[in-house]
Amino acid sequence: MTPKEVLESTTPQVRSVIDQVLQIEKAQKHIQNLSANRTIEASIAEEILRVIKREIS
Amino acid sequence: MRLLRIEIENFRQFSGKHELELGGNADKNKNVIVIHGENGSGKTTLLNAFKWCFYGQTDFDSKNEKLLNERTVASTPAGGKIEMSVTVDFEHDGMRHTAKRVSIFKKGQDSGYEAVGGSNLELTWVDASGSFRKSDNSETHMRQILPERLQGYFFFNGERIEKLAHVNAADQIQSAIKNLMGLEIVERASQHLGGQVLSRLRKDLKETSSADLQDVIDQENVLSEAVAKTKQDIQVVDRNISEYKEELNAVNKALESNAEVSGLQRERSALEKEIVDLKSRLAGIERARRDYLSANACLAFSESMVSTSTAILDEKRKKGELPFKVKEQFIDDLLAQAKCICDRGLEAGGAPFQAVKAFKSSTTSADVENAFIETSSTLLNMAKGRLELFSRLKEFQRDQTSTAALVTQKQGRIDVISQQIGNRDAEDISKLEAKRGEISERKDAAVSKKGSLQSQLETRERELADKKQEREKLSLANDKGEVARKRLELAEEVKRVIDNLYVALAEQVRSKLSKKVDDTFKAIMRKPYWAEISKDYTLQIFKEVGGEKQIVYEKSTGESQITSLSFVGSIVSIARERAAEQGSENFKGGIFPIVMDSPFGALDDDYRDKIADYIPALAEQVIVMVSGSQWKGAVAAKVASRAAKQYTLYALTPADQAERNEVHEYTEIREASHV
Repeated sequence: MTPKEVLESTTPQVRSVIDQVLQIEKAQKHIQNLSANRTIEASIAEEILRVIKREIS
Repeated sequence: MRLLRIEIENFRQFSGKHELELGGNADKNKNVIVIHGENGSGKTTLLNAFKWCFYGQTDFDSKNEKLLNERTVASTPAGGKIEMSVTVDFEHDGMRHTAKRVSIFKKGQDSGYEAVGGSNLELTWVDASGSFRKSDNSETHMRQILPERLQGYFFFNGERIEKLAHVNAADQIQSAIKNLMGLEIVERASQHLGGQVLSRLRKDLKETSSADLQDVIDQENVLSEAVAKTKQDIQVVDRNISEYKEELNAVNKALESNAEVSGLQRERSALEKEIVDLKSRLAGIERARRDYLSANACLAFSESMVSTSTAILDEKRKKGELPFKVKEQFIDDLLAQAKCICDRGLEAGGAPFQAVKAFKSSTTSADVENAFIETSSTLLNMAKGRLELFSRLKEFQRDQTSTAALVTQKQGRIDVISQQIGNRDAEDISKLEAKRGEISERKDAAVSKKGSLQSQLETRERELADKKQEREKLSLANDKGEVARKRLELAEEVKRVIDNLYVALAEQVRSKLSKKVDDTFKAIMRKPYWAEISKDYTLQIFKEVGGEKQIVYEKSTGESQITSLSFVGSIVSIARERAAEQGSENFKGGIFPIVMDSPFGALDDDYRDKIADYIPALAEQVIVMVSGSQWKGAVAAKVASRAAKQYTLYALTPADQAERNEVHEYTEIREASHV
């Protein structure tokens, strides 16, 4: 499957969440060894959780 | 990013301030800056000046020690302060940026000096409204503009990039694809979703659940953590394997450069490469054998069914029941025409009519007839297929046996060579060989550990999927946790799609890049070879021998250099195309310059000529550093016409400066117009 087909195969809701999640990750992409930085990891997870909770409230 | 200017102050052999204009010319046909200089004149220093400015790192053997210019130190009075700096002006996202890294030193009482604090980077820019802006976090900001892990693809020594064309550079190639195309953010998204996010959402669901469901969620969390931990362990082992490979390369090179064992080591390296390929071929045969078996294994047990069915059909055929000689449609036509073939009239209800109509009961419908023909043909094919199955399985076995025998044979020769090298009296050789043995053992142990971890991972992932199904069944009956359940399901679906997206993006980029590398490679190579980036991200060269595709192991350094240059140029070009694409904001490439030292080093005249044609097209902006011997003939003619500016680095030795009593070497930069 092409990336476009992968995205088209899912629902608009999932696509929207994916887009928001990737934006969150993109903001931290300059950090080289992210897994070594637990605070940033936790804050990214928190932001993703907020996106999911906003979608289903 | 487009480089506009670099200013170097008291950095290595550059005493005082020196400036080079790099990119003022917007003419796309003049996108090359040429910097001339003989060995030791400062070409590599200039390359490293960019790295030091942007990231505070260099790749000199002495790392960041001794970066300060000695001549400046000598002319500074004791206690005086010396500033060493590199400033790079560049354009990014349509705005002019300035990156300036400074280190301050204090001269001691003797000729020594010490650093006053570390180096500091200041990043400023003029924004779209024309306002001057200064970054609060310059180091991070700079890495956002050009990630440090990518710098090796934009600032490199042309003579050293040939290693990209080695089998064990697969990690580097995969990482370049991942980083340059923005795939890393997709990978990280999957890790975060699969780790903390799902764990928290399961916890939320657990709080509203029955005891049974809570128990299943607990088990799911434990398994999920185990999966994440195993993946991390695999990454660590992967890194170790890469490091061992690099160490082995270094030892191999040291042995190759020792005249006494050079030939033996080269032969051993070539044999090892062949074994890697043979093992990959063995894996390929095994994959093909499994695929073939999963599609055809049933034929092995079909003999009795085929013979019984064939016998039944034969009997029907013999009795004339199938296929029947008179077709149903033929009887219908006679009855409709009311006339028999003997010319007798067939009046409806009459005796002749009834007699002809009676034939219909002994005919078969077209569907049954077709089914008979198809079944007969299928049975025939199955019988043939069964014979072919055994013949193919024998072929697979023959291939596997002969390939495995080749591996054993080559391994045997490697053992003999290793013994010969290890038995040498020269201490440096035996030490290197012993070290090589130790590293090889550690690498083999790591490879074996990786295999075991991968198998563990598969088991845990299967168990996790089972547990998820169990939880889904139980949580459907849990009304109170409706919202928590839906959130968890959404996060799981998002993770699933992101994982698929990663696979699709990586494959799309790999196959596009492979084609581009091949196009470039073929345009430069004079031999009928072609280049491919395989599914495991190795960049290899192939040739055709007797209609068969074969890997080219014995590449010259020049050929390896061309392969690697094709790769770098292609990846920069794809990143540039991707940056211009609509709708790819999250997986965006970018525009990058290429700064390379000695791109023509190991090439003969013909290849230099071809590379010279290709270099201006490598990137939007190309800065090349060349020695006098590299800058001649076709190279000079072709690149000079594309050069926006040319500079020459003059290394001034004490002998050149005898009348001034100069005791230090230093470099001066002058604008030039070499043709």
